[in-house]
Amino acid sequence: MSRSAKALLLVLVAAAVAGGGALVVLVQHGVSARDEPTAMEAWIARRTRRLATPRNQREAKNPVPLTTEVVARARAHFADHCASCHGNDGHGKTNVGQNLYPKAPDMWLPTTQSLSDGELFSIIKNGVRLTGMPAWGGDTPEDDKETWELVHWIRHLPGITEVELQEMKDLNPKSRKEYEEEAEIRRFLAGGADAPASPPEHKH
Amino acid sequence: MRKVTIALSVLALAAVAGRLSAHAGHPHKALGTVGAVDASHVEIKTRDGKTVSVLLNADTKYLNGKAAAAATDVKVGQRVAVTYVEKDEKYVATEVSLGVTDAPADSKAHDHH
Repeated sequence: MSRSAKALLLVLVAAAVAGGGALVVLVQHGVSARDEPTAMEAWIARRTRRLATPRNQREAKNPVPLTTEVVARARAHFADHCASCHGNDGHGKTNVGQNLYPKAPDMWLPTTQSLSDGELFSIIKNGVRLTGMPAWGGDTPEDDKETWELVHWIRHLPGITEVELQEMKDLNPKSRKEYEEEAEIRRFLAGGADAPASPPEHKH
Repeated sequence: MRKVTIALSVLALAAVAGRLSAHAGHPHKALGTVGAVDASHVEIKTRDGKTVSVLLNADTKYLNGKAAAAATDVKVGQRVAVTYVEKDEKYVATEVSLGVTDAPADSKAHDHH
């Protein structure tokens, strides 16, 4: 058997084993997003993501100078578009983020902070297939600039202050009903109104 | 070769089993006055006479308006808004917002004399 035929056979066997394994998992667990990825699955996913990111993107440095205005703009952007999954503090402890497969990462941890600026940029701009991370960036220089600003914000997250967190709460997208509920709660806490008759209420 | 490696990795990803984990449900909100409180839980008396017992832990955040507060700031008789999730059949507080403390009912009655 030639060397190339042996390589092809190896690939086919590996694919068959992987496919069989996937079938067993599907039969046992279905496609529920409640499961937690195993350490091996997470490792393979991270390696695959890294391999799939072209080297010039991985090694790109943030071209946007770090200023207080940039951080403030990125904070508002993150609160508006990202916090519904990642949380304002970036810990990912949100109703959506905790029920995705894989769960939204804790962005304070080395699994995020050890990524290069270019990798973070690529993830935000292009998204990640088979996860909850969409591709946010367009192809205009303005879009790229906003994405690089978000990279600065992700670096800033482990040092976020309580004042910044409170400011972000006012910038999170809310429905009219949520605004009304918040106003009702503020009135109640200030002593101005009774609590609703039948709490606990659902807050989706 | 790089494409083959990526393709095999994706296949392997699909083959690796996930494990079931505890599922935290939807956030709920309880508004009322504090009936009892200690380091591990708070009981909230709601207007319709129900009592909701919610666990407190190291991840629970406390707010007084927009300012950060502490677990020790929670007092019996105080108005609170508690956001909590249901986990392992228990209620766990994620955020406790503090409000004013209502005057005791008997002192209110005294004002009428």
